[in-house]
Amino acid sequence: MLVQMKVRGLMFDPYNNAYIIILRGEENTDVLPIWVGRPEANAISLALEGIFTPRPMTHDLIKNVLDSLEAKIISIVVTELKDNTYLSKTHLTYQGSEITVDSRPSDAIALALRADVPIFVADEAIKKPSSEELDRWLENLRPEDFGKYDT
Amino acid sequence: MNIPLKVDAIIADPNTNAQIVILKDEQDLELLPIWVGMAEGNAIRFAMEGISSPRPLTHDLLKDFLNHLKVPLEKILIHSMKGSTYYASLHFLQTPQAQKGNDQTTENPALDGITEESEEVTVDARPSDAIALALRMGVPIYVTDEVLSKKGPESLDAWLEKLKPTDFGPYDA
Repeated sequence: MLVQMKVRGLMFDPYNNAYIIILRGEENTDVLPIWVGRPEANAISLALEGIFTPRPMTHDLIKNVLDSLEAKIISIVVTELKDNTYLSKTHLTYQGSEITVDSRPSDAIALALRADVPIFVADEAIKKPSSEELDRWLENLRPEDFGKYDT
Repeated sequence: MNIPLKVDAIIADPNTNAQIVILKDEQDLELLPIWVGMAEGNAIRFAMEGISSPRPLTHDLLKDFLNHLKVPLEKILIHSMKGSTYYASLHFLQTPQAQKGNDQTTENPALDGITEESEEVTVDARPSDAIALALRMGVPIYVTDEVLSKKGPESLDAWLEKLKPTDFGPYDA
């Protein structure tokens, strides 16, 4: 079963020098934290904040290429967690057929926000330990850790 | 006139935390340095060094999209320079759906190949993204002679002359 989720937050993880995207379901029951790299976090942040750059950033370019070719992103799905890595798929329609392309969740989410299409997460990808890990991580956070947040 | 260029090198600019892509023509007569961001520079370096990532990186994803759509990229063109910003375009050859016959149930309609009806579709891009994609797709990189005549080779020469050996310390792949 697929659960629709929205991006509810983006924060900096000072321990891993990475960023975390927080996906959360409509009923706020399921939370999915996904660790992403800096450029991808930046791409997501620009879309969340509606910041328009003078030149197209890489995900804008992908969106522009798809628009120009009249290919349409219809949804993205985070399908599973494998070896600590979330896998996802981007679903498109092009010339009457549906196409599914393997993507990292970070890229897929950056595209979903730009194309304004739903983000789905498969049941299998929502594992309780991940939110326990997040709780533990949140409990260990100190105020000074937030100082390193840097857009 | 469009001149084909090759990516000669990519170097880190210790002063700005940016990276510089050095493009050269086949005779090594023309040299075009383009400043790019860290992420785009890495995307170009990975392609140059043939490093493949276990998961598709962002430019790999664009390549995967194009392969799935079966729309070939013909070339990229660095066509103008405004202020200190270079502008590039991606040139695709798209076969319109109507030209693939009326049989919409064909498994792989695009396998019919590129017909005379193929249309060129161009998309505006930053040179960094365009180069990162061109290297992945194995297509030529062109620059207009207008851009080559406008660029200031003095600026790179001046920058290179100012370099001290210690500047290379912050280099970080």
